[in-house]
Amino acid sequence: MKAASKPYLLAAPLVLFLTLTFGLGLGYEISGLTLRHFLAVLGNRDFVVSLVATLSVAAVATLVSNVGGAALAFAMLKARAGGESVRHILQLPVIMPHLVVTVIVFHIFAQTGVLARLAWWLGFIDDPNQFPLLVFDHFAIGIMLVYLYKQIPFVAMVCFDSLRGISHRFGDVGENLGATPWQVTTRIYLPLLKPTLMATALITFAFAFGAFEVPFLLGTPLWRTLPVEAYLLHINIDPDAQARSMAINVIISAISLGLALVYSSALRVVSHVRHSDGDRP
Amino acid sequence: MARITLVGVAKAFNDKQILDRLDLDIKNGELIALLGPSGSGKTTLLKLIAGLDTPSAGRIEFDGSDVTEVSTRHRQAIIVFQDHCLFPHLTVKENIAFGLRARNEPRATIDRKVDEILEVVQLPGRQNSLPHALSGGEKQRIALARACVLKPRVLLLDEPFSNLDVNLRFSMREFVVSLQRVLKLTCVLVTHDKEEAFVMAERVAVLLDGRLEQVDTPENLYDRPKNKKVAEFLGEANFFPGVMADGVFSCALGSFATPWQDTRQAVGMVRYDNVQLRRHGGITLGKIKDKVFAGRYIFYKVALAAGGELMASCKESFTLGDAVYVSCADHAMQVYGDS
Repeated sequence: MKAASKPYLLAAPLVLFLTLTFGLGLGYEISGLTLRHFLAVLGNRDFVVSLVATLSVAAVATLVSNVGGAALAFAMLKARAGGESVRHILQLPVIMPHLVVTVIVFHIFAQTGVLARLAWWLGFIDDPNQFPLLVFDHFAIGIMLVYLYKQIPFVAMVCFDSLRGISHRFGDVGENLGATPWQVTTRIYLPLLKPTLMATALITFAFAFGAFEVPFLLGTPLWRTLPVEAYLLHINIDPDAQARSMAINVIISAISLGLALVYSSALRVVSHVRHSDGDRP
Repeated sequence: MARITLVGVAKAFNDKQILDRLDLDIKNGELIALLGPSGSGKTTLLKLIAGLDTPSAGRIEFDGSDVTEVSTRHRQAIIVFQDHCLFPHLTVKENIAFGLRARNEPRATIDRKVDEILEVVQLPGRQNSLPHALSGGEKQRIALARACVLKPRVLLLDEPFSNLDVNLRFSMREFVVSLQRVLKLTCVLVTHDKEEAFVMAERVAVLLDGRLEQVDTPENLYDRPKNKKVAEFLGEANFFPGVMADGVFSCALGSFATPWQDTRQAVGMVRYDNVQLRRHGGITLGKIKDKVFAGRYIFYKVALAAGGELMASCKESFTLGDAVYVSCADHAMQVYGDS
């Protein structure tokens, strides 16, 4: 690829996407540039509910998976040889496809699933409806279980590798200077782990924010996440609905892009502190 | 500062004995060097004193109190590592204040103590610098400041100068010795560099294969190593097999008076700089076989006419092939039992 043509080729998919999104042809029976569909989407209450729900699910999944993953990584580091064995075990959930995990979660946690049957067999419940609603539920517990099953091991593995790269001497020095293990963790290791956690937080949030199949299969009928909303509008025969679907896709992309920019700025600040003139402002 | 007493301290890893029942008494305010080659157990011993590891046997006392089971957090024996181990995300001020903050000292006290110690280590005005912006010597001073600001009972230095260039190493040695005297710290310096140990320490403890072979002043250690092992480790020594009888040790270099009266096989040791080379007026004849100029001295390899070779160092200039007379004073010859 010649250097001069490289930027154009790299930008081509975005240009094509935006052209289609703003209604310039390909069977949408819409012509001309317009923001009408964006305004229609942004003014729709269902969209606002979907946006809030999607952001909430993604934020909670990101928070829990990063806190849990980092805690697991610290425990693995403490366990030394044992931590290495756990690392091998953690590779299994990471490589397992989301769809498979979704089906597993459904079979285990649904009101007709293994746990409900076990509860019935043990005499805790008389009817499947008495089992707590963990799938298709309002609080997205089923969706969250899939995300956490995948993301906690992912964060733990990345953080564990990162922690192994940080000299264990820092911990010795910290304790030798009189710090408690908690102070050593929060004042030495966590700040050193910050760039890694920023990256894993971005990845886990972006995934949870943009995931379609998990909320589509395990989500509540009371509200939909943005990707599900976009999909349902897209398969609607109404051309306006299809255009609104594309508008939602652009909004999802814009939010993801915004997050990537925030991440890259934050990383620049961290790098600046570490590698610039050496004096902290 | 504290008096440190090690009583039968031993350490084993996976059935491998690293330290073998060490006994050592370090006086209040003394700077002692633990000298030994890599793998001799020096750093392990330092970590035991710091409380970063626990001995397999024996006990460690500070001022007569057993601290073997006291955690490193409460032991107040602060260690300064070879690679400084400054926290890279913290400024100089935050690094120095780390231990004070852990003790929950008031902010004003912390600020005052940090400023004071920065004056002592001659780095005022660097509070806001991050470690990567400091030179090797500055990092070492900040690491020392971080330790000293806590007014430790014991300061432990783990090969603190080995990463520094030669000139900086010399100035840092002087700096640490003066700091130790000003702050009246009991200080244990671990090093594999005998010159560093001799220059800095009041006493030197030679640790070989996990055993303390000799604890002595630098002068005694150099002139009168206790055994062949210590003499070999300190280097620049010639060894001559010979026989000891009626208070006289006889070897290829001649006969030398010794305090021992028994008869047995023995080995004599003479340091390179105790061998005298003369063009005239001697008994033992030799020939200059090799010559290496090393600045302060010229090292010569001399082939003895009676067989064997020896090394000598002096300022006098000889050329290869020169015939020389070799001699050595009685007191310069150390004699060890052959076993």
